[in-house]
Amino acid sequence: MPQFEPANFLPQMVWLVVAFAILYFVIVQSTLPRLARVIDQRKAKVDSDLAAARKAKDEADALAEQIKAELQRNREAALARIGEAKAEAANSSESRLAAAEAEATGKTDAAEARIAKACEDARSELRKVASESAQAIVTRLTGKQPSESAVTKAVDAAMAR
Amino acid sequence: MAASNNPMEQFAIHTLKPLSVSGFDVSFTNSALWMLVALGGIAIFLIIGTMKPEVIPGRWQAALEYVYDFVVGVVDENVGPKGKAYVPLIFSVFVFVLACNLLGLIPWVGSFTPTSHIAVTLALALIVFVVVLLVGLINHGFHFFTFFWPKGMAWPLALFIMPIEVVSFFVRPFTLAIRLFANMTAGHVLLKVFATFVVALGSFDLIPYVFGIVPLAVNVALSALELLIALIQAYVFALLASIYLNDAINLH
Repeated sequence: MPQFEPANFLPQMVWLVVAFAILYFVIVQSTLPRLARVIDQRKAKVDSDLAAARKAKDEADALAEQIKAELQRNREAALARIGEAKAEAANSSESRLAAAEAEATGKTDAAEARIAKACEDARSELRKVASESAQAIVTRLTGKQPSESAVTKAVDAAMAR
Repeated sequence: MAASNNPMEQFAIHTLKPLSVSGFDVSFTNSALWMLVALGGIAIFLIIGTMKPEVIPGRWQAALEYVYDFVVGVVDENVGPKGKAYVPLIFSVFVFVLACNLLGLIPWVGSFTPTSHIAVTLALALIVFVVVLLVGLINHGFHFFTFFWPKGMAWPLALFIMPIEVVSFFVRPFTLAIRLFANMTAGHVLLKVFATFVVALGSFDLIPYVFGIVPLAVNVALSALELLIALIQAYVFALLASIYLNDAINLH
């Protein structure tokens, strides 16, 4: 087996050390840091982009929260206004209703009073007319003028019936 | 059997250019060549992938980032935040082992798998071991050696456990190296054996080619399996390296 030939050892080991030294100190050291740098750059870029996105999201969330709160506040204000308006409307209609009712009652009372007065007028007119006619009738029948008080008395008695 | 049918021949080391430094043999071999090929492949992948890095990556960058993220995940999972500084090291280990494993799977007579040689895997494992030892000593000083003393154990029992801990610590580079080398060698031997069957059965005189199809199909399936093993072994190597690093960084 050539692997166990002692004469083969030294040249190979020396050349391996030479080759590995060139690889490590020249090739890898001159190229790999460039790659590492760009990988770090990428990581930094991704991290900063992610941070920016997270910040933007947080801002948007805060804004949305604010808008929501404002909306809620506005809704409450609107509801309060509606309640107020409702109460106001109820109040005013009630008072108008009361006024209208009072007016109507007043009118009715006045009308009733007018009717009662008309009735009374009619009655007194009727009495007058009835007394006069009764006086005239009695005068024609008896040729004697009856006393006014007797006629009135009789008319009153007849009307009371 | 002819020499070319020997399943071990694929692991042979050929000296391409004999070199020697103060008497030590450091010849440039086919193994070294393929390590450099792996290095070239990794370099192309890394350089194109990071040519102009963008926040929105292109194809090459995305592919490279996929591998990088994978390694970062392994280190992060096993070491934690303190492991960030060691990502380039684990990344280097991972891509190097992976590239060597994968290059050896090219179905070509000239391809060679450096990680099928224990010399290569042992050297890599020793690098990891030395780094772990240094990181442990630098971070914790000699306090690092309390690592061998099992925590929360009655001392007579701990006295028995300690030598086991010591041995298991110092045997780490060898298990790391042997695991990778054995997996690669076994897989390539298997591929080679079935490949010789293709030739042997396919050259049956009465009905040529037909019987070669079966071992060929097996080899195709085995290649898929070997691809998986190549990936898994690179992952295991990187994973164990980061677990060992964790011991050195976050002393228990």
